[in-house]
Amino acid sequence: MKDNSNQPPSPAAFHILLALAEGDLHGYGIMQQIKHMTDGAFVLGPGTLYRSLKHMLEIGWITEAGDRIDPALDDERRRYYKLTTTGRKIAQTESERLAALVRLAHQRQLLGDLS
Amino acid sequence: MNHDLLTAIYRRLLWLYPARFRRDYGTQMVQTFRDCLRDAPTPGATMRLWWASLLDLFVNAGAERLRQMMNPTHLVGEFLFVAGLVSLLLSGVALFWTVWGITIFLLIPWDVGYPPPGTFAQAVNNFFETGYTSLSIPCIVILCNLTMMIRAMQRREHRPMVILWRFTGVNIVTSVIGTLIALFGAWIAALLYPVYDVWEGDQSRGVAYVYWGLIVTGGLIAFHVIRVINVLLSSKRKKVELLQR
Repeated sequence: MKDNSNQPPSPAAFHILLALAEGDLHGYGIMQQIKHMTDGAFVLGPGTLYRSLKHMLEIGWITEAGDRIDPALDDERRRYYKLTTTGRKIAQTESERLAALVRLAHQRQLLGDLS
Repeated sequence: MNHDLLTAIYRRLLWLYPARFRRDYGTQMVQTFRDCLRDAPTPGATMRLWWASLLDLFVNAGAERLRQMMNPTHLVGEFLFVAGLVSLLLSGVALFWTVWGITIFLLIPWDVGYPPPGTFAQAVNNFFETGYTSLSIPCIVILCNLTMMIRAMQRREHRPMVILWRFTGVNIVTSVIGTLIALFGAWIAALLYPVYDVWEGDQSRGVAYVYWGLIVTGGLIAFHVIRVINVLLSSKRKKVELLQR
């Protein structure tokens, strides 16, 4: 398989990385976290979510953190996912890249006041 | 709309995904979908979620299938799978050939005469007499060997019952398709050669064809049975290995 672990993450993957930067989450937890982070502007369906998770597991950005019950939901066991060191590094690199772009956009007066 | 019903439909639609993906993530996807349904505040929101999830499912199932197909290992598997289908198609033709031959030689009295030129019955005779089916014999043998390789590759992806089910399904479908193609070819041949009749005065050759047909069909059936047993045994061995680990 092609090694694309160093490629920039897709928007879905980047949002998942950001969500997992808070801590271990299960699938629905990730969806909720993303919805909360973006004020509902970015919504992932289960299909996109689990296909992204599968890809991210394969390239080592995340790892499974075991099955356990989420007391906030119900008694069902859920599989949790967590960031790996590589995943965290990818999220940092992408964040810095985007921050640099935002600064550039600001310098070119394409954005309002950032403060 | 009833959440249980929507969840059940969603679960069924997961069959659009490749087997492996479904096995690894199917349960989690259903669980997540159910969580989403539970948190939808109004019936309108539920329906919006339903349609969005359907679209999401179709798009991602297609993408995942495409991804699997583009995998170099899987490409070989796909090629072999097509080869397997062709072999089963040919076995359908061979089976039809045999049935037709038995009907002609055993059930129809010879003093009735041969099918009139240009008729469908004569077309079928012509088709099976012009050597296409003879050529199919080595093809069937070679391609059936390839199907063994396909199954060997797929053993990791499917449970034995799924393989058995697919094997049976594919066999039935290809036998029907093979028969239809054979009949269509015969019809075309009848249109092209309406007066061609190779049967006249040569009953022994016709009988020999029937025997050949029986041998080939019997061999194919035996081959498929062995193949299924082999797949089942290998899966069992694999399970034992996993348990030992």
